[in-house]
Amino acid sequence: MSGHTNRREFIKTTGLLTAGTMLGISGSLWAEIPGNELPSIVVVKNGSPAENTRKAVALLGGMGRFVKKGDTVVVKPNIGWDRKPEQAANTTPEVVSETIKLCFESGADKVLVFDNTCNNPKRCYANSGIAEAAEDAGAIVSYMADAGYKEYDMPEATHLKKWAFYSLAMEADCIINVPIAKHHGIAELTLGMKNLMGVMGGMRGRIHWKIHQYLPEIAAFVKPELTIIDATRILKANGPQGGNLDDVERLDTIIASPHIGTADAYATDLFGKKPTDIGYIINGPEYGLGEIDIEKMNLRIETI
Amino acid sequence: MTVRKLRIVTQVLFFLFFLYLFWITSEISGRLIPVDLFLRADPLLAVTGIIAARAIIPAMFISVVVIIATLLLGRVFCGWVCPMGTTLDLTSRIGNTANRYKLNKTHHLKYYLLIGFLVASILGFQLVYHLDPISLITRTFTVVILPILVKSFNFIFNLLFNIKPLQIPLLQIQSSMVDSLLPLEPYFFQSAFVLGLIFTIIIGFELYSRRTFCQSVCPLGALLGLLCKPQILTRKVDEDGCTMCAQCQDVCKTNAIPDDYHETELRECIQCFNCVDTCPENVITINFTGAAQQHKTDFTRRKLVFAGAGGIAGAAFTGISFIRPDESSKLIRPPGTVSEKEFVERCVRCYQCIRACATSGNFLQPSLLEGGWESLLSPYGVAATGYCEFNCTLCTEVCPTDAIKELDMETKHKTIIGLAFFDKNRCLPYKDGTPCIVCEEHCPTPEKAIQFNEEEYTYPDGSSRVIKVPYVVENLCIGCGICEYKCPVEGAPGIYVTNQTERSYNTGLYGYP
Repeated sequence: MSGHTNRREFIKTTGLLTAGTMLGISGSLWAEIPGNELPSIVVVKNGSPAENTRKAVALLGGMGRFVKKGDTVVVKPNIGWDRKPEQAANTTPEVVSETIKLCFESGADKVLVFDNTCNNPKRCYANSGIAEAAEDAGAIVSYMADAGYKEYDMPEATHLKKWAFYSLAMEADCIINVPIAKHHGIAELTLGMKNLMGVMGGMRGRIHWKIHQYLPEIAAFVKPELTIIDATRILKANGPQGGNLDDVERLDTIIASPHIGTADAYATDLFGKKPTDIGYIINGPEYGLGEIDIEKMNLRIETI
Repeated sequence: MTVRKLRIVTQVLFFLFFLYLFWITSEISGRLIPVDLFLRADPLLAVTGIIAARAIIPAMFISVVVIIATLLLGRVFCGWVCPMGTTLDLTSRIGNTANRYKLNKTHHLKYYLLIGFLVASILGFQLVYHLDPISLITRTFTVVILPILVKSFNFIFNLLFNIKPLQIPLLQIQSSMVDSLLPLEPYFFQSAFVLGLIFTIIIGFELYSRRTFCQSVCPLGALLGLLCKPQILTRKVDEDGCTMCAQCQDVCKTNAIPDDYHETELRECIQCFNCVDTCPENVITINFTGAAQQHKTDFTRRKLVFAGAGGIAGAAFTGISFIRPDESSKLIRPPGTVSEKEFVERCVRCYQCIRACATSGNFLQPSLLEGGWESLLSPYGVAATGYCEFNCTLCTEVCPTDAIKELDMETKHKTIIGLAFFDKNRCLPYKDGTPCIVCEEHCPTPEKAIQFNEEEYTYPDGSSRVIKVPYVVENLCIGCGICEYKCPVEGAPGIYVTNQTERSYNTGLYGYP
């Protein structure tokens, strides 16, 4: 748990640091340039998935703001379903591999990639294309083992007091949350917060019972350093696993923010919804998950 | 290298080949060799299957190779190839088992069993699976041995996982093994105990005397024994040099050498070449020239009649046994099954489908008496342990008798195996207005077979709220069972699948008017 607290403190301190917005300079350099205020959320459009990802992270001040030399980093994509990338049920493999590369460029020692899948993990890892892409980028891709789950107390939560989380995620130095944006029956949309259910064990279906109360508590507890929402393709109906290509829309967009609630709130716009349409986004600020009013966001939109 | 050593090497190679095919049964794609090769090559399964199902099963024609080999060479399959035989040889080697010659009194038993099974198959009942060695060994490996290995692996894994620096290397090892060898989770089979016990008894007899099962019980051995007549590869003893030391009789695995050591019981000889290697005078040869001195024990007609009657009785008792309709409603057959009747007639309980499913959806289980005696131990889906993976066609690809027909992905996606029903007394939105619809989330059909209405629910305190209330769209549901498997209600689930045989087999009786 100590590593967990350290990460949190690390965000607070680095979050105060400011940096420029030029491309091509490594993150550690950004932090050294004073005077410029970094955007709290960035949206990059029209590039390739990898270009969008790289640009978005650069605009936020570079990966060095989140990943330090020697860190063990968990990159957590959505690999939940036995579906192909074009079906938009899992994160785009190129977004995952580019994120991993950025982590290594900032000096990460190890990058771990895993997800507690809904379908058979072997099928999900293979057919999503993520296992191969992540391994090629140098990450350690593993299936989640039962032995890795530990029961954690959640003292700051008011609804969910105790749950099994994957200890390798909780003990990592840094978590980069890389969800795909898509439709979801009970949660309306599955974005950054919902994606964190992938580091949870137990009968996760029960989270659905009070999903709008539980998700912000889970997000505040897991506290990813950075959320990169993949909207290369979005799934607009029959989510979260889809299967019908007519429900998929290609947007070639990446949304990134250190504030998971802010990222989720902005992403509602892609579906023609408002942040206030979704319960767990509304409840986010209560847990310090970031600004949810798009008007008030320190937003930066770039088109490649 | 002596022929005996060549035989041992061949046995090991065939056994490794058997294990290899067993492993790759769960590969998602890219299998070049049919993984059911050993089962398809089994002439007994072919003969009884074709008779019982009254159908040509082309996949099993490959067993002709074994028949021809036996006609020419005798029971080389038993001595050189059979994975059951090799398992038993391995056991007796470890157990240093002696031979007990008096076992030759029981050689008859297997022929009577064979006749019983053949008679039953003529009556339309495929019962030979109980004792067919290939079916038995594949089944045991699937339901008993592999789960034990996996549990052992996980035990060690979990122990070592407590050491922090080992965690990541351990996960890497496990993940690479999952890709090739291991299933992801230890899996459990409801009949594992019974099948494990049967196998233990067979192994136990092996510690009593070598190849006891093969000599006394194996109906495939009996069938091959009956084919031995015109064989040209035979054992000969040079009577002049023989000192009657009886060592050949001692080392003969199947007691095929009678008290006159010059003679050979050809039906029993499995061409193991032990006698050739052991003979201190080097007067025993097994070659292609000339006929041997054959020793033959005859069957009594009375016993043959009894054996036939036994087959009739077996078939009759199976056929008249009672099936509880509420129990049989749980018999969800694998996709690709054409009809319940044909499935039961063809299935030889080899559990290749269960083996394939165990690492995919973990859905198929061996039945106990859910479908009565006739479908005892047959594979069926249990949504409590798993579900039928939407994009998986593995079980349809590995069935040796085509009890499960091969399906392409597009057909599989539309193949109905059952139908889901809500238990409105347990499903949370119905029961107490708790939002849930986990079933809807997991429903895999492109247009979801579980949809929801938004309805106002009034709670006991008088407050009310709009919640999503799920329902099944009957003509979209394929009965895969993921809704039941993932249902988060504690205890009995709020949604369950039952078989809908007439709907599944496309009788036109179901669907909206």
